[in-house]
Amino acid sequence: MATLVRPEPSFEEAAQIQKFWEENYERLLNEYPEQFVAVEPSTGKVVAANKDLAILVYDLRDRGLDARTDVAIQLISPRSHSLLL
Amino acid sequence: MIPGFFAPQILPQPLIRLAVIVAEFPAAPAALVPFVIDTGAALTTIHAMDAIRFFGATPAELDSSTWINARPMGGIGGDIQCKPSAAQFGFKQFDGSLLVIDDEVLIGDMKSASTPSLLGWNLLKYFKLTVDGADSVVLEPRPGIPAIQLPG
Repeated sequence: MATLVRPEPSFEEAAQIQKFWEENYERLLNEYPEQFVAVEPSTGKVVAANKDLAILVYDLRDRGLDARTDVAIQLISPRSHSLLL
Repeated sequence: MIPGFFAPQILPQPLIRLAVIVAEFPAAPAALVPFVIDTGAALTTIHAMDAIRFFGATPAELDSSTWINARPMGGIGGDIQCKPSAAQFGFKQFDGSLLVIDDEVLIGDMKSASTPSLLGWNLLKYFKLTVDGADSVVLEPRPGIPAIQLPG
């Protein structure tokens, strides 16, 4: 049964993933601009990237990877800094 | 007191991580979702990328043409379709305890994939929000907040 006390990822894991994205964002922006990028959380290795999130998810599925449990996904876009919400 | 954070390489806005259980995704465990704190958003919304990466939703499930309870939602970012769901939100305080609020969340369709999830006014109204430039962001529960507190 789901419990808020132990979310996935944990607060510590989420902070580590966040640190990875922040430290590697500029590099990824050069390599994968305007793309959704999936990385293996423990190594930071890019396992898939695509401009279309649906295609990325089905690509992961075809490789036997779960978008929720096996990878971390982030949109890499220079437009993130000009979002008007 | 609940701390938020900034991720300046990714987004300039203040963020906060909340533990969330969404009734629409009953098979998923509680997920830790980053939300942009948006005082201009009426309702808290989990957009498509986060629905997929944190709750295991499939793109087909986020195709709003198949939804019977879709709600059109407008914003500066454009119009999307959302569907409402009951949800439970956990706010982790500095002392490690968790403030838990039952409320509603909107789930965005695939057109929302490039937008971050938003913490909106349906939840922000229960807090005093302090944003100190880009240095710190803190939520402080207001008296009468309809929350239960779980030990950390």
